[in-house]
Amino acid sequence: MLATSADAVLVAAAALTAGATGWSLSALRQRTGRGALADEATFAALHTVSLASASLRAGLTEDSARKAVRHLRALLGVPAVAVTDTERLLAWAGGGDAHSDALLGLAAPVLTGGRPRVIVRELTGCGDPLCPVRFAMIAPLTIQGRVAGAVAAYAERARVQRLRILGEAARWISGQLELAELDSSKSRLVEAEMRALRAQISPHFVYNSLTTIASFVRTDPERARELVLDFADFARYSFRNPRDFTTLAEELRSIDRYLLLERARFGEERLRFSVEIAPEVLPVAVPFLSLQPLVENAIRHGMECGVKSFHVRIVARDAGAEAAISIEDDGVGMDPDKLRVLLATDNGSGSQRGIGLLNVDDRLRQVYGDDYGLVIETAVGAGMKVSLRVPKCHTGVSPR
Amino acid sequence: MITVLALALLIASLVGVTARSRPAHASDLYAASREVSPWWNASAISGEYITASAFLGMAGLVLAYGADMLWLPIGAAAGHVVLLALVTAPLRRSGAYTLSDFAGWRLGSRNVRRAVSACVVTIGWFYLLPQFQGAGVTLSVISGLPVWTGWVVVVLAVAVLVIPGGMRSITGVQAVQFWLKLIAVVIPGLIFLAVWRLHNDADAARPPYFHRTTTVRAGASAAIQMAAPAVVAVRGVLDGRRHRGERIRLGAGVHRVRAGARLRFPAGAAVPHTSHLTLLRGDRWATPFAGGRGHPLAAAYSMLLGILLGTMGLPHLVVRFYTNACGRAARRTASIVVLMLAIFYLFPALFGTLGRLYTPELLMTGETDATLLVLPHRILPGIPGDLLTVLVATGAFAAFTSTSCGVVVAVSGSISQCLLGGGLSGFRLSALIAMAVPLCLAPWACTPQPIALMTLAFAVSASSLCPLLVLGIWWWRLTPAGAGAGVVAGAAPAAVAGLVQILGGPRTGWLGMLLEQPAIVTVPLGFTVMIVVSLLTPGRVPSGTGRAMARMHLPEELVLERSP
Amino acid sequence: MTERVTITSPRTRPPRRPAGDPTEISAVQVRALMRAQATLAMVTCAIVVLVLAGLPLLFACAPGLSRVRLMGIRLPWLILCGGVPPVWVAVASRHVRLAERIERVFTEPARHE
Repeated sequence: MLATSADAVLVAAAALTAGATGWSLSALRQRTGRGALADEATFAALHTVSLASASLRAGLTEDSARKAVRHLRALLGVPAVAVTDTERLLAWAGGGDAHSDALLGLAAPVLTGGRPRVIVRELTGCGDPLCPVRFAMIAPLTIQGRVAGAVAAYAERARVQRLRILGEAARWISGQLELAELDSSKSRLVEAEMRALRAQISPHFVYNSLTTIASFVRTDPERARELVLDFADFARYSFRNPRDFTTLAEELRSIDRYLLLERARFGEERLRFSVEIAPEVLPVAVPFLSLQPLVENAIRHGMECGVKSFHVRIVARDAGAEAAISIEDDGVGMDPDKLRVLLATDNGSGSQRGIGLLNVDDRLRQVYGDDYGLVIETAVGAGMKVSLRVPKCHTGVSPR
Repeated sequence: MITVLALALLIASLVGVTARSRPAHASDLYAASREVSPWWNASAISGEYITASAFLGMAGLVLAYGADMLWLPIGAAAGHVVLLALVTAPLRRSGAYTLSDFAGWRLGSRNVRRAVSACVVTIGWFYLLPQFQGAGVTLSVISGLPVWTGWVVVVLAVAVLVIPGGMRSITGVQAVQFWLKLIAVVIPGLIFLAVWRLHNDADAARPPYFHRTTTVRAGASAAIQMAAPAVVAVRGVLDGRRHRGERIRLGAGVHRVRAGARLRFPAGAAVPHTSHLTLLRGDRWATPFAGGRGHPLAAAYSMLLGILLGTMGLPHLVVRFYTNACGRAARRTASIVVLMLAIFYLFPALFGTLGRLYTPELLMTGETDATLLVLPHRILPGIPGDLLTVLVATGAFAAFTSTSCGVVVAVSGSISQCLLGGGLSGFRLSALIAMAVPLCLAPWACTPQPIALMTLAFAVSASSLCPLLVLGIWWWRLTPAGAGAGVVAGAAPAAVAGLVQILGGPRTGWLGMLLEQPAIVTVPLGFTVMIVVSLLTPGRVPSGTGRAMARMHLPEELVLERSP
Repeated sequence: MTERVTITSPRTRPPRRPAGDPTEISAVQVRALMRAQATLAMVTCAIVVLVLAGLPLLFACAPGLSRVRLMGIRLPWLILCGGVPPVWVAVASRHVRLAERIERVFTEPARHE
């Protein structure tokens, strides 16, 4: 919602500014008698801009840069234009591309300092006496205050006027890139929510629980009845809005129900668990379903290779202004490299395996900031320990 | 005596350890997710509230000053009634963990948050100082070591408890320690009552006298004042002359004893007083406002005001209400705390009176804090007395460690959050700072009674954090500017008065009274500045005020029921 | 005539609010609740202040009270040690009872709306 309205405002503002500038320019020119020509120029500029922005809205990638850079060259009216991100050259348009290798070196102060730069002395290195590329001007591209790349314009003569134009162009590109960032964070949010919904209650779990309960119906109807009630309670809790907050106490109760059902399925001996909870942290507000997926993840994957016995340990400690929570198992563990790749993926295309972890990690970071992500200790065959911290008082967070 | 010390330490630490470990059964998750009950949390709060000064010092104060000190326990319990009426439930519902959190959340201002943190640290230091001092006196009375060793021992004990674990004010430990303290007061109290059978001439119209032949050893060089002449056997240096046990006649007036001198008083001799205590006849001792202190009524009002309103700003107490599940449970907890404190505070008056009868020599040495530790031996010589002493010493250790740990944790939390950016290493560093400052101030704190510093801590809290809490919870028009100005205007004069007093300012007249009990001026000042500045900056009322008010005052289930 | 009940598809969701935002209950109601609680708190505090301000004044104005003895104990000691603490306990439990009643009265109608 927010992203869209911000988008709309930005686009409208940009359109208004461009329109107003165009109108006043044309009005001015018309008075001097060169109206038709100026109109033509404005139209050409706006047209180029709109062509370039379409590709830039995809963000700063090699593909988008290649498409945009041609239009930028036309817009700036220089022999060559190049775009880099912070690490490599993304695209080059125009002649003199023998100079492209040297660009990153020239752009380094711009990328670190965030200020535009003119290379005053003549560029050397291509040996072509007719090379149109003699002087370079480089301006930084910023997204929300941090430098994301640079745009470079090459010309036969260095001119202050041209540098100003380049600076303006760089600002405009930055604006487009910021919009692109907003788009992607919005889609990440939607993605996270979708994953949250998927993680809330897994079809496997529903199926397994129901078959387990069914197996008790004849042998131990009383137990079956209790399990059905537990299942109902668990389901009711799970169907709440994933944006809500709950207390640690309630989350633990939900885990208790979950574990009862899983233990009915696996047997008391195979699945053991122990808990150590400091009562001081029970009223702490936590994002709803932030622990249960971690326990489910531990059980579902820790036990996958037919482990004989399995131990889950849940610890919640009081750490001053924070609660420190950890969930540890002695199951099969996981390859740390795979896990690292999984946590780094933005688009949630990860396997079923880490979806619980990824989802909880995402939501914790969204709520409390990047300092509060999951900390995972694991290795193949060495079990897994997932730790998280939750501030006791977080502005804007309330239980329930 | 060393065995008593060791035994008491052992029991106190055992209680701590057993209360700490929780059984971790397989089916315990449901049990573990049950919140702390109001009774249990109230025990923990009372445990944290009953300091060494309350446990030992109150009896000593009654012994020395008499009826005027009975206001203290009454004010302390009343402070919790006010806390209950004005603060607990809304504060719990706000979800704020510390007072700084509350200020930041309610007013959305970093500066007000910082000012509140500074207040918390100041209050904590004023509060820790008497803990250390009391501990020093107690240890020196039990073991005969110099006073400063006691400070170091307590600081080391707190450091060992707080620094490695990070957080040690665990509810279970605090609650058990409260019951330990209560038992350590109630059992001796009942036994003394049975032995004593209310034979009371402590309030007879004569100065306190030795009921039996008593030998007193001067722990430090001091001036003593004799109310009436007496024939005393002296071993050591008295009035500049060395004696070897011969009997001399001491006239009425001031005499100087050197450390280590032993004076043997016959039964019936009047008790000399150390120079900073006023000689009080029994009837004046037992009558309110007859103690000969300057402006007693104004001083009593000022002290009561400070304690009454200052209780709500004690950083280590407020944090505890967070452990309650909801505002209603917090309110019930507070009312149980009142009950528990009322029971506990029945006893200091008894011990003070008994001290007047059985341990009057403490008036001469000035170590009145030790009353409760010395009494068992005097009333019940032999093994029963030993056992009671162990019990009392255990309670005393529980009192030192529980309050000191709680305050140090709260203070260092504020320091690390404000200056060092959190984290465990930052917490450890700030815990060291939190303890080092009062330790450095302790030798300078030449005030005779540690309780005076306690009342100063209350005064700072009452004139800065109390207005912030009360107005923040009940007044819609509070602005960040007003809150900041009020906190500073209230806290600064109270803290300055405290420092002047520590460094030895005037002790007589109106100025002396105000320096000792500044609350009567600073509390109205804090409230007035906060209200006036808020009214002058009407445009800066935080935009979230309505939502904050709703969250603080609406019962939780109204919010709960909305969720499907 | 039975009252009509509004039914919508479960897909029709009410506008979403931030978690825990109790703005549904109008500011007027919050103010009413606050006023009731504030009045109660004022009464409680007034009792406390009355006792705490009155007793010193009483003892200061009537020093003769100190000579009155009950069971061998002087009256001020008896009042201060035995009389006042029960008052605090009573005031505190009264406050808790009444504050919870106010909250109950406030939540009951909301529950049946």
